[in-house]
Amino acid sequence: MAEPHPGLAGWERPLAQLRAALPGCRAEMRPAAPVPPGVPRLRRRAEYRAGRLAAAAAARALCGTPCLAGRSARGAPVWPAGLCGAISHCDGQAIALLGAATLWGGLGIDIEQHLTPPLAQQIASVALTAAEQEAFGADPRWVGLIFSVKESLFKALSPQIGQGFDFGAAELCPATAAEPPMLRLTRDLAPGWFAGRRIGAVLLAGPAGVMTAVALPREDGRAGAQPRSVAPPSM
Amino acid sequence: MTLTAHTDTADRDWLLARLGALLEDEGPIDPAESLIYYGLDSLRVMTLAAELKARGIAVSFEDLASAPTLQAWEALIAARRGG
Repeated sequence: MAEPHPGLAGWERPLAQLRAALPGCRAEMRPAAPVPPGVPRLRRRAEYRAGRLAAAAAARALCGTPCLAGRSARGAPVWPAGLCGAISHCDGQAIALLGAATLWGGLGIDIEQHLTPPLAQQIASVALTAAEQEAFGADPRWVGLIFSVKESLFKALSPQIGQGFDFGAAELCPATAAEPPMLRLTRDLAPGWFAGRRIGAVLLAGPAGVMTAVALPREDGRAGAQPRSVAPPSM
Repeated sequence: MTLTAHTDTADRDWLLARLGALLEDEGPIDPAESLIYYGLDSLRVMTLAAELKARGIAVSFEDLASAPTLQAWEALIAARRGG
């Protein structure tokens, strides 16, 4: 268990819930160093550095050795052999989710600030499918969660299938009596990743914003069970 | 000659103004530099895609995110607008 780290105001609860939902992974958050306002370049750099520090801490929690993640041409982290994971930044905070590549085919993590109602309305028109708009409307909390969980899915799945996909390629199905909200692919993306396939997701919300994760077990027979979906407790 | 002001068009000035507001960056933007360096993130890309859609220009998040530079976006918007 990681030591408490200062400066995570508003993220403590979702971080604890994330760790409980994905006990086979390690998640760490680090605050970005303060930068003068009005210089997004410096802010971005500080958040990038915080993300790499969070990843190093998560690697140390996982396997006893901090790792140095590389950087792909498109800015995505490149993990040392044996690890997989993802990083996200939001408003001066960075989070990293790491797991063993023997267990996980892909991991995705995303944190976002809460959306204002006008921004949620705007985002809903492009980030949500027709079915999602029907089911969730433009509720700022849900629009934020859906946007975020699709980011998480992209991070977890696109390296594995070697291609990108847009926000219409998956949709969040509302909770039923039998199960929490789950992602569903809307079209065939790659062998095994067919339209209609359902994918579990972790959906969390706290005072600082929303946090989502997608953990895809390896599919070569050594995998563990699909992690169950976890919905925000307030919803 | 009559200059008609279209409040709903998406030209270069509009794009620069929107980027200035979205990125909270007061400095000039190098047209060939990745906008990631100016603080662009996925939510801002999605916001811009929504604003373009509202102006009748269909560009997806993927379109914008695959080449996040001012010059690439200008070309993309011009192409989708039909010239």
